Amino acid sequence: MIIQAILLVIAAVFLLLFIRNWYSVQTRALKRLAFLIFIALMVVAILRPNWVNSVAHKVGVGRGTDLVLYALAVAFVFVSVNTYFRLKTQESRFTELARVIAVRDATEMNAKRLGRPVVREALGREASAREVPAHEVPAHEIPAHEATVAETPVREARP
Amino acid sequence: MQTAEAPGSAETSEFDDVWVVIPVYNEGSVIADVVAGVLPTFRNVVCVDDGSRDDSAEQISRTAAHLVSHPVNLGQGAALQTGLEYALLQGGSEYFVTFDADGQHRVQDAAELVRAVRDGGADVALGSRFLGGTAHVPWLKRALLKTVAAVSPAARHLQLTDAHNGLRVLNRPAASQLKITMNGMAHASEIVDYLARSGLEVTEVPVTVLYTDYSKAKGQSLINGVNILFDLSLRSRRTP
Repeated sequence: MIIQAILLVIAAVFLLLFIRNWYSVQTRALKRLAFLIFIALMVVAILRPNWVNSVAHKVGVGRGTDLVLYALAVAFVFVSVNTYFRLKTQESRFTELARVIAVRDATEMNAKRLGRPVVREALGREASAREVPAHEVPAHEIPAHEATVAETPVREARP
Repeated sequence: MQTAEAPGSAETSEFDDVWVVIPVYNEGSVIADVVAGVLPTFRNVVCVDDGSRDDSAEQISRTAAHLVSHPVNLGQGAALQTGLEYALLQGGSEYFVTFDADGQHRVQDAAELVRAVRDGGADVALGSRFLGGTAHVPWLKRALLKTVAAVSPAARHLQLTDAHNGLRVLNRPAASQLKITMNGMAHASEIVDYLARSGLEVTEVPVTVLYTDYSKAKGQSLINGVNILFDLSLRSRRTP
């Protein structure tokens, strides 16, 4: 039956679009063309319902309603796939944004928590009871058990 | 910034140019211990809190590890990528270790991997549960991981025995080229895939994975393998 061939071809095209680039320029143009054709067919189907019936008979479908149902199924798959890729793109943008924020905030916060090298150097010059000059001691070198860093931001206060 | 130490200073150690990246999601009960275990060997640790709902961030901020917090939960792959980008920004960082937050990796294995990259001439070292003895790996997990390693073209190409080990070491060129786009758990295969295409020198080092009750409870379920395969098959086919 012709309708089977048509639907199989459509399925194959979807699969091809799915695994190749959904966002290429050609695909976008094709999508728009398909949309226009869909609208045109819709208008025809509304104005001449009996045409739908005769087309259905020609392609081997019992009733025009069934043909419309098939068209609907195809449109649904199209929308699903399109939404899937749109969400993927959205997700990657969102991730990028969150990452930039996270890294920016962390850079500032960790500099405060663990000390900036520049700051360490300045502090080390004025007061250091240790043999090792304070600027050579990395702030995060403190053993974990005494590293309640958040509470003691001033490095040279340590014994 | 943190690692710009004067060479030869009394406080420098063998691993000053190494950054350990630990993605953290709801690991509040163990993360402080894991970090405390890593810090004596590797002084540069960055924990990426992936929007945990427990007190992970607070636990981390009590340690001397760097803390990067995702404002929302994005997935382990995204957390790894964030940690790597943060570590790449730090002065003097040359080697990048990815390390699981649940305490399943041993620090001495990580050190072994770093040496394999630094002294062995490889760009990337991957931990493998199967190179040494495999007795410690639960049999179902062993069967699954072996299957993944066998059916993945990338893993076969690199002749990997373990495609999903969270313990890895990358040198700077490898880490800066790596762009993890799979936010979820599929990133492990994505990394292997990237390595296979990149032409980087990859070596495997035997490691021991500690299957504690905690890590077993937290570990990926086998059914999640279906999700991973689905994500991956789409991704790899779309990139020509």
